[in-house]
Amino acid sequence: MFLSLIKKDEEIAKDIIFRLFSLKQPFKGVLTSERKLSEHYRVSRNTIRNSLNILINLGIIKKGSKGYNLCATKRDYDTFDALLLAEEDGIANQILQVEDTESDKEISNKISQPLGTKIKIITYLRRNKNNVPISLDNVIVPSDKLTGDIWQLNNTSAIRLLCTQNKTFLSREYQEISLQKVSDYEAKLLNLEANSTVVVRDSLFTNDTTFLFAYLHSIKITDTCLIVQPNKEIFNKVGGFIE
Amino acid sequence: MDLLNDFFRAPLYVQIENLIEEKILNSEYLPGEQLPSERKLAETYGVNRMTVKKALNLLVQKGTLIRKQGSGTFVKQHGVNDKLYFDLSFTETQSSAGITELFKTKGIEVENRVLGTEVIEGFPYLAKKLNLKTTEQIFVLNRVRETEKNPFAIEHSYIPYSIFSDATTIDFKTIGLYDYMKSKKHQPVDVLQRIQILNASSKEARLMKIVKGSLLFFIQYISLDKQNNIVEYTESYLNPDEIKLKFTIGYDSF
Repeated sequence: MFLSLIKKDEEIAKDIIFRLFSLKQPFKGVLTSERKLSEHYRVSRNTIRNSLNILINLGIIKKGSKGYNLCATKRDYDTFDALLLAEEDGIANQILQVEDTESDKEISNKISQPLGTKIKIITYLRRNKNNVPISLDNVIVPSDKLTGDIWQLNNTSAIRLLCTQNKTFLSREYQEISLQKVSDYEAKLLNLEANSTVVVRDSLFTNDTTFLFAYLHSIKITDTCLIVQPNKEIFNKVGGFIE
Repeated sequence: MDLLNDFFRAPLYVQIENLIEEKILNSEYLPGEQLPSERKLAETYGVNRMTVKKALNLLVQKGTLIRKQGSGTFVKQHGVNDKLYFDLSFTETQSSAGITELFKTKGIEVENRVLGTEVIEGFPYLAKKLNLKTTEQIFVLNRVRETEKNPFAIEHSYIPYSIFSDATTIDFKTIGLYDYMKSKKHQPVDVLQRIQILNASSKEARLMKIVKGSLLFFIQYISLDKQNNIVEYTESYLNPDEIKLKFTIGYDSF
């Protein structure tokens, strides 16, 4: 017998993703039932359960009281902001701290600017439309670049606000990603158990004229985290199907 | 020559520490550069060698400098720590370096364990990712990448068989996928990638010798060659204990 490298449960999981995101056929009702799916794909309930577990692991569906439900699509909100793409579905920021200060050695190193650069350090908690925390962000910006009403940040990110206020676009982002353990303080804010693992994204955003634009240190919940290195041409070539 | 001033009335070793740190910030000492010997520094600053040693120790503790046994003290390279960095940028160099190449520059040998290869068709999901018709053939390569028998990545790569029609004859244990693609003049020059965090399934756990449910980076790559063909779709599972990811993103094209 010929054994394919792609197992049946993986093949079905991929096919369901293809239907959901490329064909935009939401499997009306079918997704809620293992039985209907196993009839559709002509495989055992066990195989279907494995396929659905793959989708749960990817954060595409979750188990509800009446079968399976679709999750909110994961998004890279930071990249959305950097690209000034449409304002995201109901992301709200709870500003925790705004500090006007001058860069010390450590910060100067991070933002590649001389010691004593006047900066604003803004800390906010980002929540999705269901009011669930998704990230705890610490943004460093040059003071003179971000003026006016800081409370605008309740509904928009510092990166986006910087770009719109200064009528400029970003040119580069230097990004580092790692998994780390949360501090007790961070865990409390993000509604996580102590010692949970989170994704940490450190990004230095630059533009061509001023070089420094913003430095983002974002602590993200793993379940909802998506980080995208975008490419317009490739995105168009695959018809927007990147899931 | 630098003269110490006692403006801050700080102990001498702190002043030396500050002077060296300032030189690093001002790029007089560049990342990766070797510092003069302790003896030389002591001469330069007109202080005792023990004072220099103390200042350097502090900077090593802070992580500003690193000591390499038998070869001296160096300025730490930006962002380099004990984890391996995966710099997967295509935007900076416009050239593709496979994982093997990346590790090689760090003096680490990567072993490729080929789990299997095959030619498939009739997978709408994969065809769409490669901008192919569902009936067109796709070459599949499944590998485990390891350094000194430590698996750090599982990679499922899918490439269009029409472009890489002799892929079935290639021994991917010894030949890197990107090297092979390059030999066909269809190496990736641009990439779209998505990173998520997953729990290791029993299959991934077994292959990577980790506990089931451990967190993994799950990265999907779609790559483009010079001629504007999509030449690769890869799903990669990386062990985050071994790896930190690093990217440069160019927003100019948007």
